[in-house]
Amino acid sequence: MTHLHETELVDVLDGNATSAAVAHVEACSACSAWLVAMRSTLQAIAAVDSNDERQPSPWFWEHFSQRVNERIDAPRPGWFSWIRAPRAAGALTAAALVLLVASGARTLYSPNVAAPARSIVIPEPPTLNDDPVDDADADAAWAVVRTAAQDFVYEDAEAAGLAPQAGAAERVVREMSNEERAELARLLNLEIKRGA
Amino acid sequence: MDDAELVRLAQTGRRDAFDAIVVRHQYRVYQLCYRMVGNHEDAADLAQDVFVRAFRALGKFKGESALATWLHRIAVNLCLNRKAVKVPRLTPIEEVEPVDTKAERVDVAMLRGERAVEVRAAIARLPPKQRATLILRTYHDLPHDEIAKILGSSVGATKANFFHALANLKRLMQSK
Repeated sequence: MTHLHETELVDVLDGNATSAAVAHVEACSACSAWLVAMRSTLQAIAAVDSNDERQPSPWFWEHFSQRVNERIDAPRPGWFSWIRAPRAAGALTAAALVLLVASGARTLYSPNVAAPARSIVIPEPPTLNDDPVDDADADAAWAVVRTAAQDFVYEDAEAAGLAPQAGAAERVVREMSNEERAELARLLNLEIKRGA
Repeated sequence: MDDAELVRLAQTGRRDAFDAIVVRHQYRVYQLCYRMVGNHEDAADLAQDVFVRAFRALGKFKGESALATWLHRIAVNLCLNRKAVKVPRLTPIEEVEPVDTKAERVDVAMLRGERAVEVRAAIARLPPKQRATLILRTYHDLPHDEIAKILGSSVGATKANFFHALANLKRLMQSK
């Protein structure tokens, strides 16, 4: 015997099934058993919710609209304010390094040689001491990155076969110490001079 | 004044019209968020987020679906994007609200409370779309075609999600 499809069983459960489906359930012990089990599960779920006494207080509802309006009227951060966050500065540093290396790597390949197919993935860094930079503008590594990124073209990196995984740069930079950032600045300086 | 008229007024900049929308829908939006995330703090935060997002996107709302459907859609998307769902814990006895012993025996109430936590914990463990489908169908009594609009799925996929949600839930509850 062919059993009802899952959507047909749901229709029977909802009371919206065709007469043929209903007749099948009456004749099929497997489908009938499924329906009994599902009705029991639905009853258990419904019983939980109807007896839920954990409701917010009346005070919550009286002030809900006010809190919504406060959030609507709160000043929204500007487009580039995230850059000043130390972690965001570090994330952009690592992203710029990845993309700059890729754009430099393009010069290693002649036009007749296909770029490697596989993407370059930044490995997970070891957990190190994290001394976050308090002021992104004062950080020398960030200043180098900012300079280097000015002339960056994303399409060059993509053409070189680089497809950084979402979040990879952020993961790496989150663990960087000040020494690592200084080393990053040195590497970026080298790349800039090489490309000049 | 119906939702369509309130939306029209809110779109002209009438904040009082938007406030009326909030008051009218806040409870259902909060309930949906609470059932999706399982705790009051996140649900309250998410529910407020829903209306803030709705306010900012009000100009794009064309009325092709009901306002409630649109708000539910925003709520479900925000809840699904929330990184973790807190699994409800058993409430210590001293935090349980006093039970009217004339209406129900204390031991029955306690067992009921424990069962409720188990069911909510099982629901929290469902895959996100199955959880959303189950909650919208069972607790909000929405038809499958409306759930499909909220989740951006087909009606068939919604019914299949519901089927698998129930099957998974039964298995999770039996494993306890």
